[in-house]
Amino acid sequence: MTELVTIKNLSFSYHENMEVLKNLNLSIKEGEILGVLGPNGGGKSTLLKIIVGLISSYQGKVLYKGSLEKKNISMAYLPQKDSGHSSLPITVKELLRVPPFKASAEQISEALNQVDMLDKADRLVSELSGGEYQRVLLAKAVLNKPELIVLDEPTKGLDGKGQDQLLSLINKIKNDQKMAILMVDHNIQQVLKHCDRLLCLNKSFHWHDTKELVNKEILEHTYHCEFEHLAIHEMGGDILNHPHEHCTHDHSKDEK
Amino acid sequence: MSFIQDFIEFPFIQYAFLSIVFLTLVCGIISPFIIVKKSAFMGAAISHSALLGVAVALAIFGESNPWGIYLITGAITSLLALFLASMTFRQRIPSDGLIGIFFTTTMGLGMIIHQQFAANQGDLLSYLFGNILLITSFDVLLAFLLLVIAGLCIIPFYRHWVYFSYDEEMAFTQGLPTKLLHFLFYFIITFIIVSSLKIAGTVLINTLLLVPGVFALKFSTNTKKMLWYSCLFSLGSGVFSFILANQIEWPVGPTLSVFQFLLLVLFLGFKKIKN
Repeated sequence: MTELVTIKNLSFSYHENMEVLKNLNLSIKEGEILGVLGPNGGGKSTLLKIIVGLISSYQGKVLYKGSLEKKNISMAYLPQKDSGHSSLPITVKELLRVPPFKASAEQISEALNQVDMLDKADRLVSELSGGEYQRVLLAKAVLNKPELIVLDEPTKGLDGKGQDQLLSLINKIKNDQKMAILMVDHNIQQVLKHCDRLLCLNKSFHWHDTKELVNKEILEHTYHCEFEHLAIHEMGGDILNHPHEHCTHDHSKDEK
Repeated sequence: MSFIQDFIEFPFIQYAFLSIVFLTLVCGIISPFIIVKKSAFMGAAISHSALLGVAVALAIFGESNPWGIYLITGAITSLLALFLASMTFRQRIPSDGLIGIFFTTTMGLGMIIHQQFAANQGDLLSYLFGNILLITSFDVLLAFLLLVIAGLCIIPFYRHWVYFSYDEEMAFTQGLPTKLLHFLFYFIITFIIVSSLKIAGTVLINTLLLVPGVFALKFSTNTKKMLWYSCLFSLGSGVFSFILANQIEWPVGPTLSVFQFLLLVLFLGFKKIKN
């Protein structure tokens, strides 16, 4: 399979003492779903922003089909936002009609039909639920048939059933349109179920291979904690002060 | 005396009326995008820092050279807006603190420059709250040119602006020239502010820039209606307040500011009762 994106020795710091990525090597191949797992602040969203070109001040190389030119592949990026993030009174249909791709009414209807949102074409985007919004963004993304769709926590705020439905839809779109998907998500079970390969990422630690090879040690190393206490550590904040005596992790070394 | 008699008799009323028409229309076009992009404070910063440009222009030319005042004020305010725009592009740094410090400092500097070098050359208060007596045919021409240029920059590319204001990151990754739109956005705001100084002043211009957008976003059900509602509200309330101010002999800028706000509250009240 052709490598759409190849990352070589990628390092990035927001400030001098705040290293987010270190010597990361990665490839995204045609027609695969690559899932990115890791704790908050581990560099997942930063990696996505580097790939789509929102961050350019990094060290290392990001190659698009072997070239440094981002335009060498077509991409769609769905950032981590909810339907109410903007006060703009934009309808679903209007959102699909915005440039640069000039879609016809038939193409818009077809894309909305694909994500089962055709009946909500005239609704305001701000009135959609989290799951509906993600479906609309997916329809917008597939409209210009990109080679790679980059999704930052698409299942955020959805319940278990909603997550499963959305990820199944993403899988179906990938299979139908032969596009690659790069996806950050927090639900390990869902990622293992729907992705082909995994990147476990926590700043300088990264593991990247087919999902069948991931094990408890890799996940524990990624999350810097015992797998059994993953929920507590994922939440962060005051819950970490809650006594959880079976945890052997040294919290004094946690990032504040 | 009725407004029509005044309008026929005094050229400055004609100039002020035409300026109001052109400037409220251009404010109506840009206003919803200012609200959607959460740039209201940025607009306030640019308008307040325009006072520095006015002070420098008055120190150089005095009040008798409208071209000079416009060019110097426009150039200095554009430079300041350019600095703010580059600092806040894709939120390189948190914008609120920077903007707050920036506009108070530039305003303070403007006051010092005016007091030291141009105390006898023009009333700075007229540029803080507007003074229609200062409006000339030159200002009308500038307001008209601004409307044409801003209209040509926005209306044919309306969907680009919609997407850019909706989600700049998504728009960028899909190939929209977001950097160009970002700087163009602030240049249009800057020249609206500089052109409106005599109507509403650096302080009150913010009402014209913000209220039509808030109104349009509250009442429109799609982005096309948003533009129409914003322009109609801006133009209608602008013309009505101008006539009202003339009839009851109140200053135009403050009347316009208060009237637009009251009209907005009235419409929101009706909406609430209806729902």
